[in-house]
Amino acid sequence: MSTNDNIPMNEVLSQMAAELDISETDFNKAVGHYEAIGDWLGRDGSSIAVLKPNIYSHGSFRLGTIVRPIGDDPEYDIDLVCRLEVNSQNTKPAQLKRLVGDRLRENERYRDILVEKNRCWQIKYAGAFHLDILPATPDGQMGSDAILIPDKRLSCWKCSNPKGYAVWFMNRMRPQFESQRKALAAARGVHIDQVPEFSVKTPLQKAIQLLKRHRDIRFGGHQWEEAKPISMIITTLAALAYLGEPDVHSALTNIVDALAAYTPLLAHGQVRERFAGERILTRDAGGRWYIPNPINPAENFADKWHEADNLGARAFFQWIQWIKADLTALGMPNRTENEKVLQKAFGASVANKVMESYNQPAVPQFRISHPSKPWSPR
Amino acid sequence: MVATLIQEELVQLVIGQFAGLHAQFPELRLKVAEDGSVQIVGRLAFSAEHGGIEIKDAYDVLLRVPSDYPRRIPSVFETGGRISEDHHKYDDGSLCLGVPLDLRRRFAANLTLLRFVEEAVVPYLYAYSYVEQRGEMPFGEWSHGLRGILDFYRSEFSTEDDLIVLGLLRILADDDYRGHQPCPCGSGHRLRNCHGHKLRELQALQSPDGFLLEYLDAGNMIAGSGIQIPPESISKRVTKYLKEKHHEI
Repeated sequence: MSTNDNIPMNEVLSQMAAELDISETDFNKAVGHYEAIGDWLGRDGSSIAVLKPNIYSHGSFRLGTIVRPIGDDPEYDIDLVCRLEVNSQNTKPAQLKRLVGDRLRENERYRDILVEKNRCWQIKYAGAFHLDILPATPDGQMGSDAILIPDKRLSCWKCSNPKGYAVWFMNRMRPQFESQRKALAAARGVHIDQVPEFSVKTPLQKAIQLLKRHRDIRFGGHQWEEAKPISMIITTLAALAYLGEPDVHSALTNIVDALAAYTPLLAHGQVRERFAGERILTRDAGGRWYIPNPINPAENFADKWHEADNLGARAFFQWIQWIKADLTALGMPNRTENEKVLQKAFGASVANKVMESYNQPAVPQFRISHPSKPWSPR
Repeated sequence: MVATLIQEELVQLVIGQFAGLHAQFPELRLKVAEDGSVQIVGRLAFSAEHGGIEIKDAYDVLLRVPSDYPRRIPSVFETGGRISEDHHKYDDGSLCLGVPLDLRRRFAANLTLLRFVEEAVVPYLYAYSYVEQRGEMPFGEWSHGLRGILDFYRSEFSTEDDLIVLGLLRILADDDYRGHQPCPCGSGHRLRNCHGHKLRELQALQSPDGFLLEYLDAGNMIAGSGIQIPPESISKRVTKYLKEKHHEI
């Protein structure tokens, strides 16, 4: 095979995202595990059954944007909320966390794999994933899906609404999601309801997986590693910038171009308005950065970006510049160069694994329908 | 049927067909020897599916294009030493892709190198990979030797009776097809309304002498097992030959 052949970049990026994703088996296992945990917390005889514990996923696991962490033996990070009906006025986050932990410890299956974290309980399924169980309580003032979760220091409650965010996120890609699901159903010959949501991955979801992976790789060991953009910012900005592109390569390129357009804000410059009426990233006259939570504008994901001489913002735009350069290089018709860029951008292991299939000569595919049966003369 | 091509035309034909083959199997090369004989050598990589089981594999092969191609199909050799000697092979080591008459029928019209590889070679190699992986043949195999030939005819004639096969083979061997005579299968129908169509189909694939050889082998085997061959199934050509022989003596 000649090295001048172009790589089918969209296909490669799409496969790369699939390679980073959790497997369907592990996905189903994780769901099975947390449903069992929910049952243990809420069953008759449980000390906290009266609080009607309700466990559900949030974060990238719920959004379908989970990414395998870097490392030799990576464990997927699966974020769960455990909602208990307590009165947030007279219950402290630490108390609620204690209640959940005590009940988990009563089960010897969980006792040995339970790890206490700052805000949550972690249950480790070695080699595959760990479940982070965050205690939460309903936020009566904000609607049925709104919850209160402990802040970082476990000292007070803060507003959250992971279910609401997931609905918003889905709405940003609903046409693509529906059409892909329909196509999958047709290909599998089943009703559309029988195609699990997990099986459908839109160009937006894949683009976010690649962006997060690129961030993890490029900030790994970098002096700004601590300031790298958080997943919530990447996911929100990408979803806002997504225009419904039908393939991951164009989606990724357009998202990055759109975000790069905000770079002049670093020097208080003017931003070309690309999204009429929808400023997805702003900076006020005082220099504060603003990326609102789309379902709760009072929450600002970029509230720390101005600190340390705008380190958060500088790290973000530096990263956007890196990925823009990488995408430009990937657009060049140079296979050897492309492979190097893919390795540098998304990690050698993933890049090599996907490229392997493209470096083998194409093998013709046959369906044997009326074979001649072999015979022997003697 | 196409008359035998002169050597240069054969080479031109094969080169023309090789382009289509090479497009699918880029690791195959065409070799034209000094004597004008043509070979195709190299690695044959394929991915094939049968009954929901996909196999991706590659074999080193050599295809020898006969001088009367496309009247006869190429002989195929596996050169990587992977296919065992006692798998379906001829004495010269070439792969026995099927019952000769069956193969001839498959490729009687529109034989191209690509079609041949796709429809005969790839299924054979697929079956071998399948046996290696699973210990059984994916789409069956004919019995070895004469038994396999007779089973092929049994299946062609839709009968379980070797004597019926012999009776029908006699007509082919004697080149004695007459539509109004009663069918040897004992149905009571005339030949043209019974096995006649099948006989016509097979007749086009082989000379009466070819059928005569098979008839003799089959007759020999049946008689050897102690079964009386009915007089109407005895070859007229053989009887005539024996009479003449007798007169000479």
